[in-house]
Parts: sequence; structure tokens; C-alpha cells
Amino acid sequence: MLVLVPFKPEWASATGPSGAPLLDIKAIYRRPRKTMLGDPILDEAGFPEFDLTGGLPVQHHQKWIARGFEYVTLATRNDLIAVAHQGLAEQGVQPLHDWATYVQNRFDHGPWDPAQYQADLKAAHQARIADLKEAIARYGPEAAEAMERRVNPSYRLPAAFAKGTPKDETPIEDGFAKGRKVRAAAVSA
Amino acid sequence: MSLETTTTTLTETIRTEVIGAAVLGYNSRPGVADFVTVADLTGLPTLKHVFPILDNISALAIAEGTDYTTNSAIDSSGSAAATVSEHAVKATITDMTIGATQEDFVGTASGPVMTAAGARAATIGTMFARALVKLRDQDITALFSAFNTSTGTNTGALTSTLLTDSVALLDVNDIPEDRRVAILHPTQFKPLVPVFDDASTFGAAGAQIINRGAASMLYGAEIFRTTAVGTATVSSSTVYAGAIMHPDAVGLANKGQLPTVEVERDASARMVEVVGTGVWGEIEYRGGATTNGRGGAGVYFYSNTTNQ
Repeated sequence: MLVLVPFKPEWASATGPSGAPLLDIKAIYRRPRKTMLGDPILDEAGFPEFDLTGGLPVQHHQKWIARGFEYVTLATRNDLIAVAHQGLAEQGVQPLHDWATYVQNRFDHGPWDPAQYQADLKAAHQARIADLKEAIARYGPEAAEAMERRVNPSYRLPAAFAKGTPKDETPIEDGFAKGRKVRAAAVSA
Repeated sequence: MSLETTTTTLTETIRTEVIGAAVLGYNSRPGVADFVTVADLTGLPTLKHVFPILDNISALAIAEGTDYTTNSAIDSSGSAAATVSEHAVKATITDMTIGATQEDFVGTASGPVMTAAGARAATIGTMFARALVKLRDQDITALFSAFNTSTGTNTGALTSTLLTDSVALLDVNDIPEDRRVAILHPTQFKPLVPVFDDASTFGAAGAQIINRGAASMLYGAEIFRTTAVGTATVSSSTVYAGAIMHPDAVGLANKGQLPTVEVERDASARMVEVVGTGVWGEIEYRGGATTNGRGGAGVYFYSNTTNQ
């Protein structure tokens, strides 16, 4: 599994003695897929789809966030080494101490491996779909949508997806009733 | 016969090899910076250049005899700013190396005496310039995958239809037709060549493409091929992140000479440090959203890296 380099806000905001950006590093961002009219493109389960950019300059991080992009990880080995430089501490930026653990691309020895990331994403997406289907089957589409909205407030469960998920007809056991029966049996015994 | 003079009798005086003139390594085609909006901060007491953008304003119909009170603000809040930063390349050369090479790569014929001007004019200065220009080009092309407008194919090769689609997107965004450029990876451009190299259909232009294997302009966009174009991912497929754009799409601020070469001798280590520096900053200028006419000057034009 690809270990992503966690983002530190000071990478984008730190400046050197001259006022110029301290770090000129690049990072991979994922951008939401949209139609020509700007509507988000959703998959069958109503989850947004993303594309990945190349290495975008982290000094413009706020600009990318404002456009709906999300930081993924640093782009190249040089960027990883740049954020691990011990001299950053003198400039008020905590260096990345365990940078070698993020070297995961066997070709360029950098932190970014798009193939591995896509594989991880696919597995996570399949697990998320499976959880959603289970929730729909056990609690119904309305409850499943409400559960998903606790994480993603704008989520809408597609009707076609809910209709395609068979409902679990197994009666949900009433725990209180079962407890009363157990206590009654114990008392009578 | 005896006492012939041969290569054996004169072994110690025979040159073991002749070294030809050194040539530089093949590098990506430079010049992406020629196709963007450039600002020069050299000599100015600042590190930041602002590229102002004035939003469009609207006119409305008005009834006769009424007082027109609707204001349209002159708004420059969509402006972009590029702050320059340093980029460097360094070589540390020992005294023993200087003067011992077949050619003078570093601008000094003998001894450790080296000047910045000499180094800049020598081979090492050229190598520094190529490295810095390549990095600057890559910094610019890295912005293409962030353009708001995009088209292409993540599963196959570019086609003439996709090319016209991208040009049409620029037209839809009201981007001026002059100075448009298509910055593509050579692998992206390759499948377009057979489309246009038909001499019987395109006449002299088609024949020229057959001869040169390249087109200079297609559908109003100058074609610039370079391996400085990077990669991205679209729908889980790796693509080349090229662009068709107007120079307004990206802003570049330069400061100082590229490269600025400095030389410093470390006497105790018997070495000379040669450092080449370039100072620039790049910004996505008008490649963003088309809000109020601000952006849309660049189209992220992608195609699959392997399915060609």
C-alpha cells in the first residue's frame, strides 16, 4: 500500500529571509471530474470521481484547494529531500525526519507511484461500495444515505443504486426482548 | 631482418587513444517559456509580479427618461501573482582536473584560476543553462494538468477531431486566435502526422509534412513538441499532460540572467565550486475558470502514454 506524505501547511506559506517562498516543491493533487457545465461526475453509487494532476507547485496550495483539488502526496524524490533538509528548522519549518520511508517508487525512488495509488484507491472504493450495499440491505436506503452524509454532507444516494441492492429480509433481533426473556428464565429458574 | 622500429619499440611514445571532441547529452527541446506571458523583474526591487485581470462588465437596456443607477464594478480580484524563487545547479572541480582534460570544459586552460565569465562562456556554462532552462520548462508544463478546461482521450491517441475540439474550446472561451500554441509530447503528436501528411489531399503542406515529419501549425495553433511535457492521470489511466493554449494561460516572472554563474575556490580542499543560478516563478495566469472572462486561455490536452 502506498504511504502518502502528509501535508504540512508551512510548506506552502513559509518564506525565506528575502520574502521569497522557502520551498519550491511540487505535489500531486487530485481534481474532481466535472462535466462541461461544471456539474460533478459521480459513479454508480453517487461517489465523486477524481483525476490526478502532475506535480503542481505547493506554494499555490490555497489556489488549488479553492478550485476543489485535494492534496495527495509529494511528486518527486527531490521534493521529498527538500522537505527533509535539516536547514529548514532554522527557518521555522519542521523537517520531515522519516523521509526515507516514503521512497516507494522502484524506478525513480520517489514517493509517488501512480499504479500503486490507483490499486489502493480501487480496493478502498470497492470496500466502500460493499459497506454501502450492506447498509442499504440492513437499514434501507434512507438510513444508508443519512449514515454516508455524516462523512460527506452533500452525498445523495442514486435511486438506481438503491433499487439494485436487494433488501435483507432477515428480521433484526430485538435485543431488549431477548434480554427480558433471559431474565424471566433466570428468575423462574 | 632485425632492429625494425615498431609500435613495440616505441611503446612509451605511442598515444593510447585519441579522444574526439566532447558533445553534450541529448536534452528535451527547450523553449516552452517562449510561449507564455513573461515578466522581467531584473533590476526591480521586488520578488513578485502581479498579472492583473479585469473582469468583464455588462451593459443593460434602459428605458427613456430613467436614471441609470446600475453600477458595474471594475474588478481585478481575479489577478494572478508570481513570486520568484531560486533554482541552482553546481559542479565542484578539483585542481587536478582543471588543465588535465582533453578540452577546456570549465573556462580555464591551466591551474585553478577560474572566473565566472570564463566558466559561463565555456561548456560548463552551456550545461548549466540547459539544465536550468529544462527545469523552467518542466515547471511551466506541470501547470497544464490544472487547467479548468480539458479534452482528450485517456485510452488512446490524439485525433484530428480532438484537436478541433480543443481549438473549439478556446473559441468558446473567447480566446484570441493569434499566438495559439499546442505544446505536446512527441508521443502525443506522432499519431497526428499521418492524418495530415497526405500530399494528394493537402498538396504542398502535406508534402512538407512527409519531408519533415512534422507540422508547424495545425488549425491555427503552432505545434511545439517537447519531452518537457509531463504525465498525469485521467480516469485511472496515465496520460501525457499537454496543452493547447494562448500565452495568457501561464505567467512567468524572471529575474536576473539565466544562468548567473559564480565561482568560488576552496583552497584547503584544492577545489573550485561553480554554481549556476536561475531565478523565476511561474503561475497559472488565465488557465482557470472562465468567470467574468478571467480564464479559459488554456485547454489541458491529454492522451494515453502507451496506447498509441
